[in-house]
Amino acid sequence: MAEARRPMRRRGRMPGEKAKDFKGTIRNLLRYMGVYKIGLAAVAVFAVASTIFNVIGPKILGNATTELFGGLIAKLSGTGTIDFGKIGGILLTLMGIYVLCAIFSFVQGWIMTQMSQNMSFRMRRDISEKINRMPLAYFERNSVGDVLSRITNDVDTLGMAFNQSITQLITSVCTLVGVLVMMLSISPLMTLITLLILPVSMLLVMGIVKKSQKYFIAQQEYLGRIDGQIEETFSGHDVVKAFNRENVELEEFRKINGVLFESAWKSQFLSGLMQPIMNFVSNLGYVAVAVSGAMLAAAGTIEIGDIVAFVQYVKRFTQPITQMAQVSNLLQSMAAAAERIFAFLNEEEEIQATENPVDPAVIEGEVSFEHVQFGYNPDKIIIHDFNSEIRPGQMVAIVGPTGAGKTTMVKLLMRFYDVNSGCIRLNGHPVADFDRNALRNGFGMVLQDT
Amino acid sequence: MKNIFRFLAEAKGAVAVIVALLIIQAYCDLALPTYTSDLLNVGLQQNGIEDAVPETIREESLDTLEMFLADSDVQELEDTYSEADEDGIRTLKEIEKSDRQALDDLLALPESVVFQMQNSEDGLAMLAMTKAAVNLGLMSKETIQEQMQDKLSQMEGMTDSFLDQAAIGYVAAEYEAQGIDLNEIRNEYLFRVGMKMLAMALVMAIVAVMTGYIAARVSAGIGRNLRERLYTKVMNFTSAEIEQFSTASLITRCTNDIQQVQMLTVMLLRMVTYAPILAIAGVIKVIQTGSSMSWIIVVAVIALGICVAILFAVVYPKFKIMQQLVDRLNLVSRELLTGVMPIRAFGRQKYEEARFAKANTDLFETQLFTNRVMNFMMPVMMLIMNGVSVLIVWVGGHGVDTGNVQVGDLTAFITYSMVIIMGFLMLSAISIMLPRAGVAADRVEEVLETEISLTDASETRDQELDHIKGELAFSDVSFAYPGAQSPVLEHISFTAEPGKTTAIIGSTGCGKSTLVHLIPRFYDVTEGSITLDGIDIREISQKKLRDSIGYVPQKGILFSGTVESNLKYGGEQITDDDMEMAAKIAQATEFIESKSAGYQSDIAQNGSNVSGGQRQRLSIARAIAKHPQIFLFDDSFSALDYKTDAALRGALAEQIQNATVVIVAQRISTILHADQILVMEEGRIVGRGTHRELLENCQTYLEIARGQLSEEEIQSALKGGAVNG
Repeated sequence: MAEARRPMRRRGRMPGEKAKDFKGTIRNLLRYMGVYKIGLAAVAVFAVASTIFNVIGPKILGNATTELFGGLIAKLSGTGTIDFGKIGGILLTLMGIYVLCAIFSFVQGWIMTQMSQNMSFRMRRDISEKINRMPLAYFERNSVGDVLSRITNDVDTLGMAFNQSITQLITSVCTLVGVLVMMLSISPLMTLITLLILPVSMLLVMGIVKKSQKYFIAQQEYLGRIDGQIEETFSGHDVVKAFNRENVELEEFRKINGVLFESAWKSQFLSGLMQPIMNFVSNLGYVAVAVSGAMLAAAGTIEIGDIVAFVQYVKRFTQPITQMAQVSNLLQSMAAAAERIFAFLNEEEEIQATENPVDPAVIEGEVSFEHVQFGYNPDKIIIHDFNSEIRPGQMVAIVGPTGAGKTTMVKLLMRFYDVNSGCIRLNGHPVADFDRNALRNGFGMVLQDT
Repeated sequence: MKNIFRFLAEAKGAVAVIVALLIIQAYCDLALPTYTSDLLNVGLQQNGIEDAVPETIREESLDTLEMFLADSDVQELEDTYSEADEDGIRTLKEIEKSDRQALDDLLALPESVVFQMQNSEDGLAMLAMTKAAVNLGLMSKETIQEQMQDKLSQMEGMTDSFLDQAAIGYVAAEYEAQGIDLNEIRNEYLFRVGMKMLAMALVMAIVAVMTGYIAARVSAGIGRNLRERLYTKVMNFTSAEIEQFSTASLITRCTNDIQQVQMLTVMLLRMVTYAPILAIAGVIKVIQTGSSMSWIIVVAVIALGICVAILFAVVYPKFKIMQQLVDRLNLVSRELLTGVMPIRAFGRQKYEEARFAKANTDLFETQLFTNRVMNFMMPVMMLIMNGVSVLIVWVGGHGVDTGNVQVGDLTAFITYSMVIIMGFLMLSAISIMLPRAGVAADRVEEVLETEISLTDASETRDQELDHIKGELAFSDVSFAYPGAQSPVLEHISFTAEPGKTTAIIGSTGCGKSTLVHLIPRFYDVTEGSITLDGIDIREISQKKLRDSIGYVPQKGILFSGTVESNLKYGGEQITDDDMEMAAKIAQATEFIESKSAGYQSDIAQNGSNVSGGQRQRLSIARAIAKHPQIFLFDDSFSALDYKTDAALRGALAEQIQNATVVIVAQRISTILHADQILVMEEGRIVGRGTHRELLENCQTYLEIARGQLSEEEIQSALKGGAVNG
């Protein structure tokens, strides 16, 4: 089949593909996931709990350090010793917290994986069942590749994005808030210094995104062109060979490939700048905190353990910000995939069963067409007022040029399509009164292409 | 997976540079925690005083210290400090780092002794007494040094670390006595270290940007080269290899798969390589510090390494299986979609749904498993990271107690472990992508490794074919598709002469298209031979052979561009006149000229913006335009209506009189006038002759004719009367 040759839509879509109706799609998605209400709630609870534990960890560790330092000073000045009993207690508590944190995080991931995989499974199943309920006309309008890519790529993208985005969204928001609270509780001044780096990093990130956009678009365009050429010349391989065009096509291919290379490395390079720059900004904050922390500690404003804790928080502070940027990308591609899936699932179906289906046993082979009118498109009627009476045992042949509607007649008879007006009867019963499957069982059909 | 490394090996130089850059980056990454620990240790605890060597010292203090030193050492000490100024203060001269180290070792002991003595009244008195005694010559240096050793042995549990601390305390006290503000020294020190840290951060950023630049170029370059190699390869493929992979699969390999490899290469170069470098550098670094906590980091790295190894061992094979399951699901879905009609006609929905459900469930279970294992990693790694920091504080705490470890080192070690573990976390996050890309790389390599089954002979006989007449002869040709058991064509012999039309007719699957495909050498014969003007076509170069052939495929395949670019597809020698003439013969002039842009009208990809019949006529015109000596029409008239079919053949016969024409057809009307008709059945020629002869003596032909022509037409043909068509 011609459609089968068309390649599937590109896997691993580039960032930037957006759903037309983001809100509506998300609403659809939420409705679809209604069955997982409890699961989602559990995921949220566990994610929040594990994040909180994770966030308070460094603070407690800082307390242990302070205790240690205090003990050391006391020892040096000969007024006491390091209280290892107390430090051991703190550390044991801390270890307990970390173990709990790991368990929570594990349980959360377990539920989440189960849910997202289950959703993918359900979606694939629903699509496959949907295929059997759709009118044939849909498949004549749409390529096999397109539907296929919904079953595989779109469901895959959705499952993966769903799994990651929900978890990341919860944990990054919690971490951000938690870290902020902890930092404030240690030192508002040092927190302020850390926060100063935020607008700087925002500006840098936005600048890079803007600049790289141009190359991303160019890359997409040339990818499209090269895909086009590949598809065309591979499909028409015989013709290319028969006309000795291999070298001409190759030359053309090289040209496009060269341009693609330029835009590909540039967009890759620019988007790759993000990480080192964010890292640098984060290090700026780190240095500022370390230096100012040491000064504050010298002045006796904060404890040495607080610096130890704070330094760790600063390292963790930029992480949720970059994560949230990723999440928004994930959400976009998730919505785009979900939109295509739901568009398919919400397509019109064949009306399945009639209220009181006629028993197909009545079919003896008497067929009558009465004023049948039909067009695949209501504007283009191809069968006008067709009348015929066929008795059991008769052999009837339908002849005509291509496109005259021969096959269409058969499709109407077997209810792959329904007539626009008029009626087809089997032994006096309109075909619409039969159950489709039962009806089709009454026919033997030899197809054009198998 | 190994294929990815093979692709990478092509850019060895760049990879080496990246590794070098990453080592620098790792060095800087790990230097930051060291500086932080300096901030706390030296800056905070020692007020920014780095060692026991004072920058300035009062004359009398120096004298006191000298009392505890051997004469040779005293001389050295005197030389390193300038003469006393008016305030009696001596300043340290510029000295080498190693000299300073020696001086530090020399001074630490006397300074800490003096510092201890200065801290108590007894000590002070004793110090004064000793001084007086020495000045008066009552006491020798040896005695004093003996006393110093005694004092040392009294201070039990006194380790090097405490000794250093005391010496630094001495320097601080000395500075204070000189009236120097200690805060200033400290702040200056903090600032200096801060600047160093910033410089490190900057170097890191620059190095990372450079890495990113090289990685982007290398990976895009690998993508470009692979794409070109694959494309070239496929262009040189014969139909046999195309069939082997299927067109759709080749397209996916050339687009998606290469894209995957390209993406992964960036990740490999930038992040995956960094994790082990960071781990190794980290281990070296902590071992260098000689701290008693080093083993913790080593253990952590080993634990993480084991985690990642287990992950790969468990998940990687499953990923391979998963790829097969995805393919399986694709296959079932495809059949579900392409077979919509038969499935419904035979009421097979339930069966098909069950088949899909099986594939779906298998995929679900495998994906669930791999995802769960991956999901297991994150908490485990976090737990290792957190456990390590707890362990560091506990073990380090005891080290602090015994004086082996300074508090600042704790922070440094915790940060080291965080940095290293983050590297591993990144590695395991990316490893999800590895198997997929590995499979993609394997699929690309599979194509690249395929041997092309049909090549030009090492010595061709092209020069004997200056003027091709076009006499085409099959002698006892048999053919089987590669890998197939039974032959598709058996013992075919016939000659197609220039200026004559040879038609081949037969039912679907009788091998007539295959026969035509042998002429331009889409395949080579299995047995027998095909000759052109008496020369075996296997001894003619593919280019020469194909230049002499005008091939019109079954489906009208066009290429995106314009009508003109399609009609001139045969080469640059085709003039506008040739093109227009060809269009006229192919009955395409009318619809081309009805388009506003005429010959410049756009043709979309696959020619999807023109109708099937138009596409077919353009593809016929394309073959005519190149003026070949041999025409091959592979059932090319089927999409045309009878009228166009007849008009086209009429025009063709008029215009091309010397060419050899081979027509494959299903419609008898198309071949009525052929000079020679071959009737094929199951790969054999079962009848040959003209229309009339065959009607008389070939049963198969007569059956086909009865299906398509009226009885009158057959009768009149038999009578030799005028035939319509």
